[in-house]
Amino acid sequence: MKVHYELDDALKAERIAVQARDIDKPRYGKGTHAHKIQSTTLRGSAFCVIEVPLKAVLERRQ
Amino acid sequence: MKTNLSQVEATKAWPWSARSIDWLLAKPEEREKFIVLGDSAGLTKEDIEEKVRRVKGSVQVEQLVMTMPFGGLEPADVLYLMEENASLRQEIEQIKQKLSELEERIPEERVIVLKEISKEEAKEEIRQLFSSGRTLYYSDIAEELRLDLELVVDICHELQQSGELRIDESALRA
Repeated sequence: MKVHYELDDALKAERIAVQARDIDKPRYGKGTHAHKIQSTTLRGSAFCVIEVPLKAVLERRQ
Repeated sequence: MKTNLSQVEATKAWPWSARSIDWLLAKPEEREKFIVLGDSAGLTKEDIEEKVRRVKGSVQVEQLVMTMPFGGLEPADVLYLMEENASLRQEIEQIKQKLSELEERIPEERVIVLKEISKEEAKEEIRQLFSSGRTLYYSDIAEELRLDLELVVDICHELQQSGELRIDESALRA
């Protein structure tokens, strides 16, 4: 996993999990076409990761 | 207040109907044929019901005015206040509805106290969570086990490298 610490590094994905000491209230806006868009800011020890669905690997008995 | 209903009926009953005069002029044994259910002193059943309704209505309005704490007000003022009250109630209902709509839009805030456990303990808990066969995202694990997100991501990578976890491709396509 690559961790980006540099200013201006960005993440772009369908689903990102976030965590921070403080998260601003969501701001509502209108995106492209009919899509609604929300935005917020994470402050203090912010951590974001692009999520992946994980599943246990079941051992096959022979 | 007492309403003398008999007075109202007596004044409105005149002139008598032809039917009533016929009844009076008829012989006693022939009077039965003039008796119709609901007929009374020249008034039809509908007339009597209408009068009773009107009297009851005026009694109710008077009672309402008497029970209100502003006895010195004119009836017009009372009516104005009643209308004002109704419109204010309507406005309150509208405000309540708008408030509930806004509350639905506000994201639910939940306080999750993170557990302070060792990495090995956290790894074991994550293994147990996946043993049910569910597909989980990092955020699901962090929320269910009340663990730090960064720690969850770190452990999940380790479990992927050791071959215990894999990416669920079917969930990615959905």
